[in-house]
Amino acid sequence: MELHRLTIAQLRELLRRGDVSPLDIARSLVNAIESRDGPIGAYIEVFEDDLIARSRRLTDSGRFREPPLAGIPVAVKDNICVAGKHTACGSKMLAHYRSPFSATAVERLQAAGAIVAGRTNCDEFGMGSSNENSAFGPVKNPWDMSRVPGGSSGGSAAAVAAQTAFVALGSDTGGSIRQPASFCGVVGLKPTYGRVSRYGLVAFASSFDQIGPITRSVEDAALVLNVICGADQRDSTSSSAEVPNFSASLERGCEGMKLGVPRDFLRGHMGEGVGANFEDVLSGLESSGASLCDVDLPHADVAVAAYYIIANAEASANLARYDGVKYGFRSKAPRDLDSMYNSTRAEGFGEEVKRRILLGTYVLSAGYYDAYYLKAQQVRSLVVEDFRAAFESCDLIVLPTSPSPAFKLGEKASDPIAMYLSDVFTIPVNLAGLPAVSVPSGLSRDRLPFGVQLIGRKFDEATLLRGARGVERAVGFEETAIG
Amino acid sequence: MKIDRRTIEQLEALAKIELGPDEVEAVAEQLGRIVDFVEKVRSVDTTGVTPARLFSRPEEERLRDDEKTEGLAREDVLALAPDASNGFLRVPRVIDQGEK
Repeated sequence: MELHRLTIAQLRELLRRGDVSPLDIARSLVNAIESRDGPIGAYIEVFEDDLIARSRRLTDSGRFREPPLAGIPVAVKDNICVAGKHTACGSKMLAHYRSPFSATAVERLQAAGAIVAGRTNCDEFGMGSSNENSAFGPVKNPWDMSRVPGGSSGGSAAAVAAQTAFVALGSDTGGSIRQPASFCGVVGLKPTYGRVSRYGLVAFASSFDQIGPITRSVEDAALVLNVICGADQRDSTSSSAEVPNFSASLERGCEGMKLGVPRDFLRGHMGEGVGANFEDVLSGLESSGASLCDVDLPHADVAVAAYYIIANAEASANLARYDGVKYGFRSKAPRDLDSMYNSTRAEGFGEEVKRRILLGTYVLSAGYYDAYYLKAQQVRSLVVEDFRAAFESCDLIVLPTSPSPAFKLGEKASDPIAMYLSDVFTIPVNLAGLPAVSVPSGLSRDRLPFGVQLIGRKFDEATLLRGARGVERAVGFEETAIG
Repeated sequence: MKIDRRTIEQLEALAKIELGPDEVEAVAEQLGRIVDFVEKVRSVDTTGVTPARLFSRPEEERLRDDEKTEGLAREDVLALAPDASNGFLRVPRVIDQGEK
């Protein structure tokens, strides 16, 4: 049996019945990675020995029927810390950094019996939408090797799509889980800001960053969210909001739900094929018992601009810690302390990261703070208010995840603004701290996946995932990147 | 907007990132285009709008209990440093350089 093709829910069933062992699963996955990951490059490092040893121990102990993720291998984005392993954030700056601690999300996965299988490639410090900004090279889209997998969690999405991971953790600051999930034809969930502890997630923009799962099914996303969410003393922004069982009500789907469509916002942003696919999805949802209404998000159009001000302001402060003193890379030829800082940061950071730090520095500098930073934070308040008002007339908002399917490698590499605009549909969500999920919604004429995005109310991932299950059923997407 | 050389030099100094002589022109041009793009926020009427500040619920803003917890072991932390000796992080000499 080709175990690597199954979902987590299917594996759990087989484990519970005693039909397979954690070691069988680990071996199947290792084989899949060996035969397939080379040209895709989703993994920076595979912890093969660990994975086999731990799954063997679990198999021998016989204690793999109960814990919710026992014996399930998980891949982890290279900006989420795993104790004793390298966490490089796709950067030369941290290429040799070995984390002395694990992220809370990783600890919780391990406590639930999951085993970390490896770390996945990403854009440097999460800054990018194509996975081309990685010091470890680009990742290829398993559906079409001449195209990008999206970013920044490109390795995570590509691995899940290539069936070389059952689930991969990603992080989403402006769309970095949802957009690559959409490009790769898999499910990507960005939980509410505060739902999952950010402890051990290397900071990019702290008021946006959020860890979430990329999986092959909505059911699997719920299983993983159940495990990783909840309050954590080590992240004061993590929420003590009640944690329901996200798996419980999934099968009710979107019947009876009211779905808001932000038509004015979408107009003019949807590239070829995206609009037609989206309309198909909407009719499918109506046939499954959901009703549609128009909602207005009047400030969503300026959200990308506000985001690039605030996120990069936060990044310029967060990345000040890379100074060549405490950890990470240090330039070889410092004349004095100041030149050591300057050359360490010049040599250690890639082009896009430097650009963003400089932009963040600019918008925070004297004379510009009010005009840019403060103004952007006011726009952010308006976006929050837009969503609040929209949710008075609907349960979920539905829109495409991305204006286009996966684009070609190199296509947007020299045009930062074109690259930023590929996140136009995902960024407003991060400004408002809401939960959202991307679900595969079909294939283009070139056999590239489309994705549809659902947005929910704060801390209402239960409704969000129910809706997502509804989309999954309505669309009936069964294609895979690997035949 | 054109970002001039002097502004780039100020940003380099503030961000402690030294651009190569061949990079300055391209970075100035790209930053200029990005600033033009983010300028869009200035066209929005924000009269009387409170800037967003935090995203957890206000009633949840909390500090953890003031209790001693185990930190990381000193040797583990120092092992991460590019240069450390005798229990300290080492950097290029910063005092006693005979200047002033």
